Amino acid sequence: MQIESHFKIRGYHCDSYGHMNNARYLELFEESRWQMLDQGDLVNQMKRLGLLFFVVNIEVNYRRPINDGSEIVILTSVSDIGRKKMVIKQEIWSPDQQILFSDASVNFVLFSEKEKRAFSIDENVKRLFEKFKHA
Amino acid sequence: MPRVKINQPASFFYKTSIEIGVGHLNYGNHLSNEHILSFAHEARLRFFTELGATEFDFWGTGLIQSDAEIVYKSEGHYQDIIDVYIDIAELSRVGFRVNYLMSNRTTGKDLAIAAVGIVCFNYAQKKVQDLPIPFKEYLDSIEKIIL
Repeated sequence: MQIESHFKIRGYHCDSYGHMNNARYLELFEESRWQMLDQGDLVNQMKRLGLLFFVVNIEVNYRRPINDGSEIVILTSVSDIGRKKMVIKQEIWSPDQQILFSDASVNFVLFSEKEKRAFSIDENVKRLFEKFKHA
Repeated sequence: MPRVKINQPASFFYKTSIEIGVGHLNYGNHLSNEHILSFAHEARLRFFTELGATEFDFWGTGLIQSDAEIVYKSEGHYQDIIDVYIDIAELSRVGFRVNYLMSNRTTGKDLAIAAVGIVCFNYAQKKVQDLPIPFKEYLDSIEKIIL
């Protein structure tokens, strides 16, 4: 399953070029990830387990500029679940999904508040995230 | 599992410092991930300003960012001073990469390493342009900072 998040790009997202600033992409990607986590009730479940989401790597490709007033859809899914890390794949498309504006790969760990280190992903937690894998 | 690989540069063309402000923090009470790119952009503009250039007029061309990679190394907190080091690499006919080391002077730890791809671009004509020769000459002429 992948999550669709819809946004309209406003003036405050843009920089002096009139297109969305490169750092703003990360904000919208992050908002979309939280929407995915909300849909799976993962935020509450991770809180109960005392786990925080820590981003460790991000790779972004800026394929086309996104101008003020544009409507976009962000597709978010889990692409890989490892022993310590997970990878989330995200893409920004036009609403008809004909134009790809950007894509990103985000690696994160679940950080144990109690143990103060990265949590080893067990089968229980893995199952919670696997529903967001997309073929 | 895929992981971003960035070669950490050892010498740099420019260094500047940025203090983490309250607006840079997120729910974890630490520097939010997107601000690494804001810091990278700010440092890049300071560097270009020192050269007498801007992203709109980079010796007659404009600049556009094509990609970005970030590896997060440690947390940053309110009022930490971040030293941002810039290296320029992989010069091509139409662009270059800007490699960053962000070092947290307050904690003594590396905060992040990052790299962005920059392409010379004429915004009016929407066309890629050649890398200006004076920029290459400048890079050849200055002594780099060695850490």
